[in-house]
Amino acid sequence: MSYISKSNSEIILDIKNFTISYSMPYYRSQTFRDLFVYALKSPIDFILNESDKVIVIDNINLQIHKGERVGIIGNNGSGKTSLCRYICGIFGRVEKIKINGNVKGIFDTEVIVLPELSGRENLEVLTHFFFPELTKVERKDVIQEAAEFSELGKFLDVPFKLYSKGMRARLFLSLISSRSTDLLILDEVFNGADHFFSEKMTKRIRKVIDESSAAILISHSHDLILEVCNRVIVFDNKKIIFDGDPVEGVNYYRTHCQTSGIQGN
Amino acid sequence: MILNLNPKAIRQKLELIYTITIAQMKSRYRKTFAGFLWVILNPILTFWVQALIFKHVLKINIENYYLFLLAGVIPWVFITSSLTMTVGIFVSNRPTLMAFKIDPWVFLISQLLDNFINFVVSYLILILIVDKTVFLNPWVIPLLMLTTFFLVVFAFFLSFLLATLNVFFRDTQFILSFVLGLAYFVTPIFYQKSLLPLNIQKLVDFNPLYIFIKPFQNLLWKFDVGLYWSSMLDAFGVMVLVSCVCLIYWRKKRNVLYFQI
Repeated sequence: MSYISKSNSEIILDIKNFTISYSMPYYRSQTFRDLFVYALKSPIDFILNESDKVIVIDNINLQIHKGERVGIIGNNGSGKTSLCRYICGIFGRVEKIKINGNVKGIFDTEVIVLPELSGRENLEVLTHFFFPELTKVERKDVIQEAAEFSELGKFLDVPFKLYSKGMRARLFLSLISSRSTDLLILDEVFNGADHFFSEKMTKRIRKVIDESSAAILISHSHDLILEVCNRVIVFDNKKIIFDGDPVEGVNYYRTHCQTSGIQGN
Repeated sequence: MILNLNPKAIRQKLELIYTITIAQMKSRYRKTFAGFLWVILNPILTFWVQALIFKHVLKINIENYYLFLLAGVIPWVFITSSLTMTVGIFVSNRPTLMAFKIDPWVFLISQLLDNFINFVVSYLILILIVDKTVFLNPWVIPLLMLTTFFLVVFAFFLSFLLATLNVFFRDTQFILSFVLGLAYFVTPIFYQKSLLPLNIQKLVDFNPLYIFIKPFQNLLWKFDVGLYWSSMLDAFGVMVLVSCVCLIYWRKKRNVLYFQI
């Protein structure tokens, strides 16, 4: 089902006929030893067998306009996060994805970048990851503001390896939500933080989403999607199968995807 | 593309490399007894232990042996520690690479930079202790810098190649540690190449690690300009070859790297 945006406003993201697939060797070896054993055991297969083709993204066409808050729902392995990582540039630049402006995304709030260093020192490094374009002074302000918002207090000077999942989530979310951007991508970011901080963070994230030109929210929480988004995309088997109104999208997902399970190739 | 040549992008990349290098150094030395001092002491102690054993226990008879050993052993420590520490760097940084927009090689350069600082400091200290008269020749410092540059470029591309290979074949790091253990004995750093039988000597000339150590020996120990430039020519050839192989392999594998990492 395709969606024709009613918005005439500026296009922030434009993806046309985007397909990603790669060839995986038939023997799927992960070591030289496996490769060697396989070549000795079945030399003919080794030479003649073709690689398996793994599809990551299957012919995606998507336009996101200014003011749109797009929720993406779909089963595990359906291709949601891979697409967003491509949009964010994590997997490198792709010609078929055109972005008008800056894109920021958060995909994991549990990463321990430098476990021996304190939360504050990790915050400094993370600021370079998230906001490389900022000047030294701007970066200092962002760190200060995020540190205060996280309410971690004295824990900011404790080694990061001792942080709980929720404390790490606080730090990441406080940082990513400290600045608006042209396209903001949030992938399952509300896991981990406690109830009170989640409420506080939801308000702040909503504010950043409102201030950003457009946003993409990946979540299995349909309530959150319905609360925040004004457009929903349903992913199934690496394709977009629905694009449109949030309530219709959630219902479509519930009726069409419930039994699909994890989707590999 | 490895590098976006936009000046703003280059500045941001350099800032990121600097930040990660400093953070990694802090992280590495924070919990150690003597911090950065220990990392500098490590190659210095390695040198003195080897010097005493080879000269006084095994009675290796080479003129000006300390300088001979110094010329080879510190570059050897730099290159082997760089390869060992970076071979698994893409795999170990998987969560960070999948969460943020960072080129994988940024982590590799940061680690090499950290090793390079240790290498330069310990090398200078040891040269000053062993024979500071080598610096009386005005050509030594610029030529030493050029030789070091070749060594670092080679270390970068070989590390890059092995780290990428390790993503697809996870036993690369085990094979590497085996090969380096073997290479220590077949690389003339604590004995002269002339001690080996002639046919083995020819094989040693193809040892890529020795190709980058030979210019250091020719410069500091022999100070033979003709031999030095001839060994630098070999090093240049290997450097170009390794960098081309690395870039071709990276170009081929870059798009699938994240799905195997």
